[in-house]
Amino acid sequence: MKQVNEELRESLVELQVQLEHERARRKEGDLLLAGVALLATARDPEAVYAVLVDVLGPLLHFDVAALFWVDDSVLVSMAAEDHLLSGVQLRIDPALQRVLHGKSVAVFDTSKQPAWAAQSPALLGRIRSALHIPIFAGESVAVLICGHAEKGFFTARHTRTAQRIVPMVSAALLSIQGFQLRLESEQQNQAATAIAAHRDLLERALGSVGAGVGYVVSAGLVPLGCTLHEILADWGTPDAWWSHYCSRLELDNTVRIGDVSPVGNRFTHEVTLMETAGDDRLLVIADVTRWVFAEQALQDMNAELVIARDTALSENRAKSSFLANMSHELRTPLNAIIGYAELLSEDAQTYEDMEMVSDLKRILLAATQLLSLIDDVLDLSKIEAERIDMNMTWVDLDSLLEEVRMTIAPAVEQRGNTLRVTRKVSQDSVWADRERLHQVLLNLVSNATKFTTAGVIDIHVVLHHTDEDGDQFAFEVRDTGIGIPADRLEHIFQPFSQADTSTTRRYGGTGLGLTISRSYCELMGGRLMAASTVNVGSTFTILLPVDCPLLDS
Amino acid sequence: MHVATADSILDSSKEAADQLWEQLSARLGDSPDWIIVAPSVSYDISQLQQTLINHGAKRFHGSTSCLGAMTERGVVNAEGRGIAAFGIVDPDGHYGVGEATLDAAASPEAATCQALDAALNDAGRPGEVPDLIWISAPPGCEERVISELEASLGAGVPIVGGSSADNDVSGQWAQLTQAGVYRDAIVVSVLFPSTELCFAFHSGYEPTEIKGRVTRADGRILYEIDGRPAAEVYNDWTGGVLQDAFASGEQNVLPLTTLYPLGRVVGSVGGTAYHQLSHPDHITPERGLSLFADVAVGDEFWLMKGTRDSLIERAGRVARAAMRTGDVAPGDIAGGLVIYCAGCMLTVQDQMDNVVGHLNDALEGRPFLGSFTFGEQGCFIGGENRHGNLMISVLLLGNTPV
Repeated sequence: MKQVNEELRESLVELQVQLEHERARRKEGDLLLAGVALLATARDPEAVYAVLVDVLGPLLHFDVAALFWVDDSVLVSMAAEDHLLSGVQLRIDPALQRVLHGKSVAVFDTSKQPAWAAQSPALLGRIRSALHIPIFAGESVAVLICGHAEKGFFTARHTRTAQRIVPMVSAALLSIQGFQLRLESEQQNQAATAIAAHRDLLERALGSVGAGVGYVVSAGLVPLGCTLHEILADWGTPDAWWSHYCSRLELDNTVRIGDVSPVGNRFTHEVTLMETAGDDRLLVIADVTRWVFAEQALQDMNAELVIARDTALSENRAKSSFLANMSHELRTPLNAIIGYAELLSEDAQTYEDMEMVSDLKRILLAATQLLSLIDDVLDLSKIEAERIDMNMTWVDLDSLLEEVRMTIAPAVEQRGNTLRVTRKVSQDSVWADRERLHQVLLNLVSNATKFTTAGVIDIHVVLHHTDEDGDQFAFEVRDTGIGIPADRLEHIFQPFSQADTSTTRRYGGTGLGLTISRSYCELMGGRLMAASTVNVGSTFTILLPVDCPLLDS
Repeated sequence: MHVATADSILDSSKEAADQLWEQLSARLGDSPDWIIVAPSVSYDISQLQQTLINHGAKRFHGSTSCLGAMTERGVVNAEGRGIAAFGIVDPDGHYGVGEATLDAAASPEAATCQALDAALNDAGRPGEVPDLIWISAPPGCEERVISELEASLGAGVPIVGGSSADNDVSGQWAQLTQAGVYRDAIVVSVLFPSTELCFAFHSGYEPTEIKGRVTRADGRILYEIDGRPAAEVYNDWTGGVLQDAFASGEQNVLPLTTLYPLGRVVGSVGGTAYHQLSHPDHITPERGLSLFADVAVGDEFWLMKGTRDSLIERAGRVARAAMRTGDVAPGDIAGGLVIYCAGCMLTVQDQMDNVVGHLNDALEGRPFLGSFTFGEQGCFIGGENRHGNLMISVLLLGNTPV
């Protein structure tokens, strides 16, 4: 069981992390797709640069960025918003060579990187870490350099994101190049080549975020690149998928399709059908099957944890049931011990054997304390085992309060305390289990007596109103005793817990009374709350419904 | 990327290093670009280092391991003597090793910085962010090493490694690289592999419901928990595992506490916490506890609980966790490095073959080198780099170019 729990915990953590990563990837994918659309409108390098900064800013969180072109053996800044970066030249060293060969490179400290170390101190102060992203536009290569004032800002996570960005940005640049070519040249072949390359790069961009793309033309669905083929492999041809699901699609809306493929695999696709400038329509299919599975797996895992928890609760109930039975078995011989000790004590008194009387008193005291503990354990066990039946009825308030007062009066007087009972409600009775409510009140007043010397104990019955619960009966038991520290206040309702460990030794008690009292109050449809100030006193409040719930319903 | 391991239990240091090199060269078919070496202290470390250099080893990172090491072929330990190595041939990757001694540097931070710069220069990638850092250090300052690496590189670079160990905690541990042999060096390797990396950092322990807050501490000495002497609190928590030590006056409690370490919450995902462990090793005269990790006032410690079974199975499960995190299958793995706590190893020493078996099951026989260390460093699933005790850290190298 332990090992299963351990594995469950670990798997849950891993699944949650994977889901977070998946969500981050999807968010990144959405931003990139939006970027593709925006870049399609850019018609010059400055516009491309502006869009790049807008799109990549939320992904890479850079302070400054600039676009660099290759000029012989140096990189020269072409577009930058920060004047410090205007006209900057970086010698192409091995690190920048790797960038020009398609690798994104992160530098954690520009002052230690040879190409950067030669720059002005002002620039190195502005850009302490840098991320270099290659961008391919046909035959030429550009480098987008993102800078940050914090040393060590860019990490492998940024370079991975950058690697996914490369195809999208390159596609956009090629689009501009293709546009210009179409304007400036009549050579259709060249334009066609550029457009084909554009499509390839667009396909790579979408493929990098797990989406395939195709054109819907009169002849059917024409995929761009191979990603759509891969996503729709189970259908043999993309057309087969299209003819099966086209009726479910809506123009310019993303539709989620979950089904079983012709070869029996479950899948979930998110499909967007978009209008284009021409007659064709563009179809983007994102395969989110894995993500949906991960979500389902997490739900299953949670369900397993619920079962594990229920099993644990059930085991706890079994334990409580066992304890309840055992407590009965213990009470029987203990009652016999108490009975015989009382008889012997009477005999000893008759024969004036005072030593024997004293010893028997000790036995009686210890046995009575033990019986009290067993009674409490029995009560708690019954509550936990859900074997307790509440006998709910209308309880006369005056007689209940008088009974409590009479019972506790000797103990109150013994410690020099004054007991005051007041009732400020017009109703004469409360809906409760008389025996349990009596037990709870007695427990609270008995506690108040124990922790107060030469003070005042109030039992105060009033009507308590909150917006949430409306009117409720409030039985307040206030004392002027030692009080409870704020950080221990909630713990006192835990089993075997008192304000501190010395309390039991000094004041006695089993440490179960308040646990049981709170449970009884809850079983009667109410609550038990505590408020206290050290050296000022404590107030315990029983809240019970004013009306009988059965009559309400 | 091509990976292989080698091992030897020969008596002679020179012959052991010869055998190691012979196996590695034969299995790799080329001179390795980076080697991790894990010898026990029974060897003459200088002799090992010189022999490897004579054979042409151009770059290696070594740290002594408790009672030998382990590879996919089994435990490498003959009466406390054994050496194993892990070599990589990766022409499209870049690797660098650098070191600095604590003795010569102004502080552990300065030594770390110096070692990092040397490693990056060795890799030909000065100033660049590596994909991963592999570290070795003598026990005592690992937290400061990690902290300095993060201050230099940023917190996003995973840091994995293990503290040097000897066979009897007498301080005989050592580090070795192509540049020298040391007793107190911080050794840093920077990895820019041509393939994907994945890693995991776990313990074989579960948190109990018992916890307390540190109210007095200094460095690695935990004096008080909740205002009481830490050893007494710990003894109460564990139901008396230190009782006999109290009675006899025995201060070394390392074997008694292995299954009950103290855990601090490092992070949580979806409400489920994960822990960094600290292993109590001695009772101080004031009934405090000395640990193998730094502790601070205010830290909240949970009593953790482990079993022998969980320590045996755990290494394999951490390797599987690393693969899941990296979303790779055993077929995508070229090989791996395993850091396995020496304390855990000593607890299940008679069943270490099963530990190897579980790793082989998980990695489907891919080569791996396991070192037994006096402190483990790794990167948790939430990205936190930490030094801990009784932990297992696994790094796997992929075989598909990025």
